[in-house]
Amino acid sequence: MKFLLSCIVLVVLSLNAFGQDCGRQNSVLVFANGMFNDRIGASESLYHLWSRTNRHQKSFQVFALAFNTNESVLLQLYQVYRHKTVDLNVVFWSGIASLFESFSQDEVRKFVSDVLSEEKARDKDLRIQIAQYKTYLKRDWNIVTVAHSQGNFYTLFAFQDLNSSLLKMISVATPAHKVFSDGPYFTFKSDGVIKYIPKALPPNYEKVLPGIFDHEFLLDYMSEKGAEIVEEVIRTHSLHPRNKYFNSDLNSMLDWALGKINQTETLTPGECLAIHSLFINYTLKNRSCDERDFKSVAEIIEDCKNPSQPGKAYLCPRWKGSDHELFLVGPSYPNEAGSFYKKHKECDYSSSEFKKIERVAYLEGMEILNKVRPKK
Amino acid sequence: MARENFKRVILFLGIIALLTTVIFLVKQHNGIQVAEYQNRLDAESAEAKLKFRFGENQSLFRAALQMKSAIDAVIENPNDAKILDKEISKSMSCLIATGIDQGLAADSAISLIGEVRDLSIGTDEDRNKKYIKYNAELDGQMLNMEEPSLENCTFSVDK
Repeated sequence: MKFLLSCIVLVVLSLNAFGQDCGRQNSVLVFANGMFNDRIGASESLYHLWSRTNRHQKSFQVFALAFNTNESVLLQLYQVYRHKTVDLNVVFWSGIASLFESFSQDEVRKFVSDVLSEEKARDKDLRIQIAQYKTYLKRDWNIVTVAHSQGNFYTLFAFQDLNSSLLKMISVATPAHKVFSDGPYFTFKSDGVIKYIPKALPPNYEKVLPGIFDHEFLLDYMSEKGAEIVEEVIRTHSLHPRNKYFNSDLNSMLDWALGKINQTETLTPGECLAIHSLFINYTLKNRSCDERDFKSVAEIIEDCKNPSQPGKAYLCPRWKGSDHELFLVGPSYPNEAGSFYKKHKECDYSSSEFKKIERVAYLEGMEILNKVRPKK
Repeated sequence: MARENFKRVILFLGIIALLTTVIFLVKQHNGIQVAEYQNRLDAESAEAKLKFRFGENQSLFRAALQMKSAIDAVIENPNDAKILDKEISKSMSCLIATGIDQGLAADSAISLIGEVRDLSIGTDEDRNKKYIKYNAELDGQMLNMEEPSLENCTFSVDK
């Protein structure tokens, strides 16, 4: 039955894996390596990341290594200590400032920027990396940086200094207190380094085969969490409005969807339906990127008010437990919608389950549309 | 008498100083020769190891040799790291592309670069120190990488 359904839907939707784009932005994938890595070892990590990211479609035109050398153990530990001190200063004083109403958010931001300027003046490597990130920003390129271990400090400080919406950060084994723009992060509970770093982001993954150290990028993180790291790289990158897979009148909705997809909290039926409508919109054949607009998304949500009407059911959530990539195509790679449903299982409805909540989902969906409606 | 003894002491000290200098210079010269010989030996044995590892596949062996030459160049002149690093980039790109071209999976082809690095640098302390110096010269840089491509090979790949 499932097979038959798949065939019918495939014919109807005519998957359009690499749909037209609207003059997509160039993108660079950066890997910021951590301690005890040499140039060739760090390159090996980056090649693995790049090869798996670009496997389905050339998402990144350029890939680069933000290199932090393998200095003597003491010097590296001193650098980590110094960076952590800066990181803690930012956490501590921002926290203190937030206790007093007399400090505005602007003042807190200025304080953070002063602390970073001080670090910039001290650290030549940080100055070089900021300058080189700037060359991409000037050309309006998207930048996605995967930072490992100490590379997180450099990336976070550089991104906070540059503070652009073109910058996306994914952290692996991070000793820092945050990821830029609340991006995703991966730290094993058994990571033998991070557990000793005060105020580091709390570990969020269990290692299936725990070892003593569990901190290496390739050996530990890529071997167990590689697929998820790569999915985050592509997800962070693909639905971003600047990638121009959709009409620009959907920009605020895409911003909203990206935030929701990245969050770990459960999504509501309306939120699920709204995100689903974006994937459906991208999947529909012969729709140019200009036609993938706000109106067409609103029409899909409208159609799902009563999904039993003839010829419309296929537009609405109904494929619980199936491989979603059979029915839905993500802008950047075929499995993109599938990975969304894998992460947010609460959105994975069967047709009978969706029938029970279709009214709520529709009403919430319309509310969301009102919030992200393009300004005239 | 005392004056005569003083002269003898001075002469003795002079001879000792001369002999010490000569021995020092000879040792230094030998030292340089030994170091040079050791380097050459290491480089040659690295080639032998690469031959042993990839010998059956001429294309992979040549790609590995290209990477070894690039590594030897940065070890010889670590201060020129920023200029010579371009050859390291190209050689990695060539080795991975050759691996894929010869039927390896992408992951296995990528893993070759770490393997060739280890075999090329070897265990000699001096070579390792110079390799670390080359790394230190690149510290903080944003290094653009080359996509795997046979065009970066300095030889023609056997199909």
